[in-house]
Amino acid sequence: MASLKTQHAALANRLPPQAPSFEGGALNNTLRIHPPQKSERQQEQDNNPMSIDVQHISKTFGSFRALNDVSLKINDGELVALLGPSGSGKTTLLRIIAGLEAPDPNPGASIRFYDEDVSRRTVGERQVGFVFQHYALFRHMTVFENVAFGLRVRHKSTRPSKEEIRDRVEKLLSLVQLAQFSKRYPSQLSGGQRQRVALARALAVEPKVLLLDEPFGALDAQVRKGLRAWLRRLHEEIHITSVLVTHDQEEALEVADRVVVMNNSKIEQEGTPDEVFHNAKTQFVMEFLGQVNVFHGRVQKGKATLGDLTVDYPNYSDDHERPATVYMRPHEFEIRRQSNGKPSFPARITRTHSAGAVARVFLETEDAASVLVELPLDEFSNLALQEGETVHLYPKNARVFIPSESK
Amino acid sequence: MSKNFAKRQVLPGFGITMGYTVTYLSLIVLVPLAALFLKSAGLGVADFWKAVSSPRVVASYKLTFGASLVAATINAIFGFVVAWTLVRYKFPGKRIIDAMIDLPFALPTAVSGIALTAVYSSHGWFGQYLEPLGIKVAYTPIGITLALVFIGLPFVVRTLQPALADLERESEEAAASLGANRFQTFTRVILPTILPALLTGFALSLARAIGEYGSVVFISGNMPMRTEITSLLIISKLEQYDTAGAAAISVVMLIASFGLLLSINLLQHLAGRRYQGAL
Repeated sequence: MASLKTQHAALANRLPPQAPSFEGGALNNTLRIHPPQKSERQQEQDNNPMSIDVQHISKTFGSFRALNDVSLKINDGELVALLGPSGSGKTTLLRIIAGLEAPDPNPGASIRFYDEDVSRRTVGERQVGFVFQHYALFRHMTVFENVAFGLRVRHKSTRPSKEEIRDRVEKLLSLVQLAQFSKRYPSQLSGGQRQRVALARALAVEPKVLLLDEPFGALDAQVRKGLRAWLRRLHEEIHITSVLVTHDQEEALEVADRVVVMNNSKIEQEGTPDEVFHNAKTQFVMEFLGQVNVFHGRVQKGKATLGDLTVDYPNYSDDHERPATVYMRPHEFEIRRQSNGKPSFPARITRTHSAGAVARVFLETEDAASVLVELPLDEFSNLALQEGETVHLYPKNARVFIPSESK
Repeated sequence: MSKNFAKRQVLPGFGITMGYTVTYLSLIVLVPLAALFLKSAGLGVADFWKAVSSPRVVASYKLTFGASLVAATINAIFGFVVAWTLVRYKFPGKRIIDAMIDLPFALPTAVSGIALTAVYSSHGWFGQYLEPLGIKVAYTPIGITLALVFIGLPFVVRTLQPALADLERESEEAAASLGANRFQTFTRVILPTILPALLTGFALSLARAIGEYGSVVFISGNMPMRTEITSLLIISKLEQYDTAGAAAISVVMLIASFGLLLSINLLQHLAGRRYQGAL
């Protein structure tokens, strides 16, 4: 825990006194990344919306099917998160967009950056900025050399002069707040600093799109939170079309404009963070995003029943009764000592803890199903709940899914 | 070493182990080498200089160091290719090829010398086709170099393998995504990373080649001034009971080899210092 704290403090103290703050100055910096004489080209780029459109992409590794006919559109300037458990195909999709992996040959498959078909281009030709989970910094180069790499390897005809390279690298380094570390080697930096170097290196080549493969996956929780908030602000300033791969739902919901939930080599659902969180279309999305209480009920004639409770479920109007799964989020409950006549179910409190932003109450129903309820702290203290007592649970909201026949 | 802050070692006894190391090194390495110097010192300056600078001896130095440097360079290049193949690819028979790399270590050097001579002499498998083309291998410096390449290969391959296995594929992908072509990725990313290991392999291969005797004497033909290596010269001096002369030449070899290895070590230090020494 001590090291965590120091890391966090270090992150905060890293700002040199004259460096722009996260909030204010970075905008100016970004604009200054581009040398003035390039402004025409820059304008051209601004007028050229950089959307990404992948259609009917499949990918198999040996006998393993990593992607199964996936299509996805990403709008210009959008920050999209590909979210899913490991093995869901999200990283493969990102690598295919980047050109680090080739999709299975399939007549319908295409990868387009705005109006250009880039399927046959190599990763270098696609002009993408790629940020790797384990940074992939060149360890024999200083921070400065790392960031300058993409400019130095350019062909003579397009390579900026030494002074321009130096200016641009320095501006990028102050954008990621590492200006004073330019002479260090990657081994002398912390994980969070390394990842910011990797980001500066990817941005140095003025990529058309920015692709991030679990960029914060190798960092500890505290640094991760700081960095993702910072990434979001950076994106708001430079508006580069970005795709972020993550298995951390909190990260995806917090950072992204749009979340694409993937599972089993397919896209389960895509939408704004609000949409996917509050209107999960599939059982998988419901369970993957946020915490849920799961109950097993029955569904018949447009109604799902769970003990005394009934929930409208117009999607199933058949007379034939079928098992259904009912989900309730921990914060969508009311707890009362006395029944008020409305449908509820009794449960016994097994444990409570209130060390946090909300109080968590762990309960057990009569059929020994465990339930987690989250209450605002003041409500929790008003109720003065005791462990061991039996209370009535009033669900405010419930979502019903009929498990597919195959499962 | 401050006693107050001495760290507890996993294995005890710095005193004992250090004492052992010094004694052991003295007995095995320093004492024989000192004897060598003493023996050659018996000659006196003028005779020493005459013994180590006669044209025949100088010719042998040139041949030994020249052929060794060429062989070590060839090994560095092709050993890299072999190590790369073994690390990066999966193919049937990989295990067998991997095991074969060590054969030059294990084979008595005389056996490899005889085998190479048999293959490359004017009636051998390869020799009979090469000779009409005007390429003579056996009994020429080419043959000597070939033998030295043979015995030095494992050093380069074995030192490079772990370094190559440690290379992050991602840094190659990163280089490609930043617009570097394959040549740039190789020269700017891969090569600098493995350079220390490559230099170690080169140095080991070179050291082995300079001291090599067994595999060379058969294929070289041992013609004075042309294909006579220094080790052989030393042996022939000994056979003529000229121990002081032999010792004198040995001393020159010793100093030259030491200087060479030291400078390679220095180079390696410079190459590795930047990112390994830090922190």
